[in-house]
Amino acid sequence: MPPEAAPPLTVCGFVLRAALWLAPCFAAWHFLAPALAGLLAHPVGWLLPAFLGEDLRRVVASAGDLAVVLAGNPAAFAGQRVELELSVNPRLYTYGLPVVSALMLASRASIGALAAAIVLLVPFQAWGVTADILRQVAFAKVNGMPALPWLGPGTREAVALAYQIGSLVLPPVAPVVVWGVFNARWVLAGRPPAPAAAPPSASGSPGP
Amino acid sequence: MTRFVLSFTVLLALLFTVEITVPVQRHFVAPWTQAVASLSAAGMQAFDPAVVARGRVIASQRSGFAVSIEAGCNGIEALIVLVAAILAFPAPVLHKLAGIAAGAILVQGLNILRVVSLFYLGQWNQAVFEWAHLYLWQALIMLDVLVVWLVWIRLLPREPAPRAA
Repeated sequence: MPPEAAPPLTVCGFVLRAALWLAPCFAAWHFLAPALAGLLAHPVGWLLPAFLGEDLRRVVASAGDLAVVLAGNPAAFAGQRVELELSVNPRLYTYGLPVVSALMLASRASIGALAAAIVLLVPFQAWGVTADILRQVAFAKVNGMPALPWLGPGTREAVALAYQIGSLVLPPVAPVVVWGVFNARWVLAGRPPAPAAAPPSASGSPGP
Repeated sequence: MTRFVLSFTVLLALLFTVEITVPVQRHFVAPWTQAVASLSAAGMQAFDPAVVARGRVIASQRSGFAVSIEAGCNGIEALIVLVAAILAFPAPVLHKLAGIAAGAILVQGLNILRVVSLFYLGQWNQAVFEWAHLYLWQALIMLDVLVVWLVWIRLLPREPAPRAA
């Protein structure tokens, strides 16, 4: 006997299911946060050298945070090489994981689709964390003086913009967009369909 | 679908670029943020007369606790996402305008609820306040935008009938 097809998903049903899934997904994310930070350290470790080059010493996950150690020559130290340690809270950029999980589960996605959706969020999370670190580096001060005085105002503005996008826009928007891509058919089917075209008259002659 | 995603992305970039300019910040975002603070405080004063609003800051004269409404908490980013999603979707212009107007009220309504809840959470437990402020409410506001958009799509008129062959 073939299994019955699931009833079509209504908006109300979807919202209710998403609301019910949200709590366990957030709980799982909260407890997995240290492990997720460790995983995120890898793509961030690949991105940062493109901007910081040899100054980047290491990116490590520690107690759920990401610590980045740099070696620099701040002007306040008259060219002496010093190490700077910066810290980022990756939860600020990964809270989209429980959101996309709840949405995908609410729309009855397969495990594979759920996993793909989660993986698709990684570049956006890496952007946010990387931009946060670059913001801290670009605007860092040592003894009241810019740590990187050679950094031009244009570069600082670009870093600030990348940080705003990475912290304010991408974390809440990306999970919803990713879910939408996987469920485009259901979303677009929500609009009442066009009535069927009237058949042409039997005589084929035009009206009066 | 591809056209919608491209239009949505371009509109999003355009609206956020406009939003961060100095004239828009001075003449729209700042007054809007103060209005959010005032409305939130007015709602709380119905049951807590000790609440006052000064500019974008809401404070309790009883406990001394205060919150400042900053970028990301004034509902404008969520509204920008909703406007971009509605404008990018093929629909009659009047329905788009109606969707934006109704959506603005619904999103800001939930945003004011966010401000009120965080104000009292902060007075109760700082750790819970941080968690709700940084993660949970950010997610809920964007889910509100999604639901408003989905309902708006379902309230659109039928698509035009295809021409008979």
